[in-house]
Amino acid sequence: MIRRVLELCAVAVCSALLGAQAYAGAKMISGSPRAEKVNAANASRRIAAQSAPREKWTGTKAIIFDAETKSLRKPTAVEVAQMVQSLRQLTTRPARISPKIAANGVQQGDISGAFAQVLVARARPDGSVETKCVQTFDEAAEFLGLEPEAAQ
Amino acid sequence: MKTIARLFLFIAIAIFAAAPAFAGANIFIINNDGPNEGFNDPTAAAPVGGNPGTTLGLQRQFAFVHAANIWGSTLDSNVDIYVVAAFNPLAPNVLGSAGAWDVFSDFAGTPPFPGSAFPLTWYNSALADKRGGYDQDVTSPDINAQFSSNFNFYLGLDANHGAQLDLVAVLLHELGHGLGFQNFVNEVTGANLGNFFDGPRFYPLQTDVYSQFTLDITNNLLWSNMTNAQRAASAVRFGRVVWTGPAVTAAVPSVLSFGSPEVRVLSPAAIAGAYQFGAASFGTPIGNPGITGSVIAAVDAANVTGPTTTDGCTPFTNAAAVAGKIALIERGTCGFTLKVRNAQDAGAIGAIIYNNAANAGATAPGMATDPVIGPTITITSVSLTRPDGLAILGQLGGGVTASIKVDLSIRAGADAAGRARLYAPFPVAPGSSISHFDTVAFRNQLMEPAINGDLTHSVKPPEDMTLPLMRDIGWFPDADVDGVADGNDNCPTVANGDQANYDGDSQGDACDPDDDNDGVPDVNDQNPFSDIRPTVQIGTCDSGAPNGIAFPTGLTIQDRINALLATNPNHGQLVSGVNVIIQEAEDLGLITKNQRKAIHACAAHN
Repeated sequence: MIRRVLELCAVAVCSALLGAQAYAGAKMISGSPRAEKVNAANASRRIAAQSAPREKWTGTKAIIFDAETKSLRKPTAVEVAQMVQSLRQLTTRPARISPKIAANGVQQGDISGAFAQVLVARARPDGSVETKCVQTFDEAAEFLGLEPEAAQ
Repeated sequence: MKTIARLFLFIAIAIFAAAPAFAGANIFIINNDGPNEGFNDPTAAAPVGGNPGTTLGLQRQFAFVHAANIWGSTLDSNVDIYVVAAFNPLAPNVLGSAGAWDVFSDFAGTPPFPGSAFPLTWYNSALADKRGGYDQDVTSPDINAQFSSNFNFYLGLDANHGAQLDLVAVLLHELGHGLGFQNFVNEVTGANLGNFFDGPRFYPLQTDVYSQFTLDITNNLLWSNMTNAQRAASAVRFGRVVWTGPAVTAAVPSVLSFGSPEVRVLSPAAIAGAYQFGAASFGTPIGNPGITGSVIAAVDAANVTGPTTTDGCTPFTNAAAVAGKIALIERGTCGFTLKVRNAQDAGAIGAIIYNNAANAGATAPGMATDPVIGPTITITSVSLTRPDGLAILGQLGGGVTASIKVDLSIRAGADAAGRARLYAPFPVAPGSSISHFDTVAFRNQLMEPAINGDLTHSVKPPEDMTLPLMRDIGWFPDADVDGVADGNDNCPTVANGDQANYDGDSQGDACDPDDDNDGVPDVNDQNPFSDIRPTVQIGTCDSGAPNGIAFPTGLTIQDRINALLATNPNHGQLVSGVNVIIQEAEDLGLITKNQRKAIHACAAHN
């Protein structure tokens, strides 16, 4: 009986130690190999965005709050180009999803964050911002008032 | 030896008792910034709003950890969640992005973890880990996030952001997407995620867990059961796409307020329902009781002021027919105010302006006023998309009745049945559409497409419905993260995946202070798991005498007889030993004299 009690106790202690995953709170860490895939994907998107044909876009809406004049203004050509490049990079989707099938039959879709939401903002006259959560370049461009120059 | 055993048990119980009541989910934020940038920016900063960081980088870290802690203390998982995060110099007005890194389907759980609830259904990585009970991919993050290092976010932790954009609210929103508040559908084509080739194997497009709860009330079909064409059509049915999960529906009454501004077609049935509309900043605002009436197309002269007979730019030629009704007018050529003023002059009680062909793909616009005509307008007016306007126009021959009012019987952001509405604007906004709550929700919700200034940092009722939605998609509450949902767990705050329950009562052994239910607390019990068979038995002889009531030591009569039998006594030793036990039991009132005799008889005949 004593052995049984000891066995039960051992199981109980192990269960407690293994199972009681105390909430330790969120933590910042660095140097994780899990970041490598992200860096590779980001680099790939950056290259794709930079090597894409140079697009001519224009800002048609006053979406930037000018701190000096305390008023809204349209983005400059440089700012528009920066927006287009950032948005292209953030909204570029892989042409093909990389599949993985585990031995146990689990299907994994390595979407590499392809369905990430992108937060864009436009300034209001009082300097506050109006935001929108989008997923495509076109939706972001519409919200920010960016139009291809050919459409002007 | 028994003392040692009791001590060991006491230690175990003490460890159990020290286990946290709410285990949560550990979230690790992988700082993906280099030296002196982003999270590591050394620029000095004054502590703000409870954020104690003294550099810009540290303040970003504190804000990130604060947001992650809100989610981490709310959701439960035994698998750590990894978020790769960075602050990068993004372009002006581009604030950041975040989302799930991987998706998984058809994964079994390590018992008792339940695994996927729906077959052939994608789950985001963190949720798949939680339901599987193990890390589906130990080489990948669960969420990828990056934010602008150029943008001046409010970095305080207190939501007191003034005119600035609150980074913590932004992070809660974006992490919410990464944790599962999103579908994986292309809302333009309606296509699900899939089309995978793995060597010769082909994996077809398949639905996702979010779509399992996304319902179009027009055809009463879940998105998971629709064709691509049906999903694409549903994505722009404003007001008619709702969330069917029971947790969100249960939360609606405590979160959303009564009083939904509605443009609603009441008849005919073919087009009845709520319509996406743009409000006017002139005339009488939409209110209650609002207006209800027949809809009639306005007719005016086609002339230089307005080239068509439908544009309403000149006085109506069918004013008599329009009087007392709601005028339907096409957008274009002249301003909104002039059109509505002409309707008012014709005696209309309200006006609906629908987009013209030039704006066929545009949303229902907000209608600005002007200083000349605007102040003269007293009736209520709204704008509609072109598809909606044409749908009404096409039914006018049989009569159309509509209302424009704040419907006090409907909660803002819910349908008439009390289900939360999802954002389904026209034109479709891929990514925004469906994967957010509707913008008409009030109070404002964390997971609307925009980060509204009045958000608190709460993700649960009575402020918010995000946590209930997480519950619906499979983030079941599991305070001890043992894989058994709290509602079904016989020890909800102590990990006991096996759910062992020796005495069969309502508490599992891991948390039961009296495992054998013998009335002697385990800490005082010489055998917490006594032999609690109902009657005393010796060999094949059942005495019929009760066994369940224990001696003060916590041992049952059967325990003591078992211990005696374990010494391999001869017949005489057995009978005399049993007699000692049962005499003591009788003396303590645990058994009667006749019951003692019955046990003795079993011993004597063994």
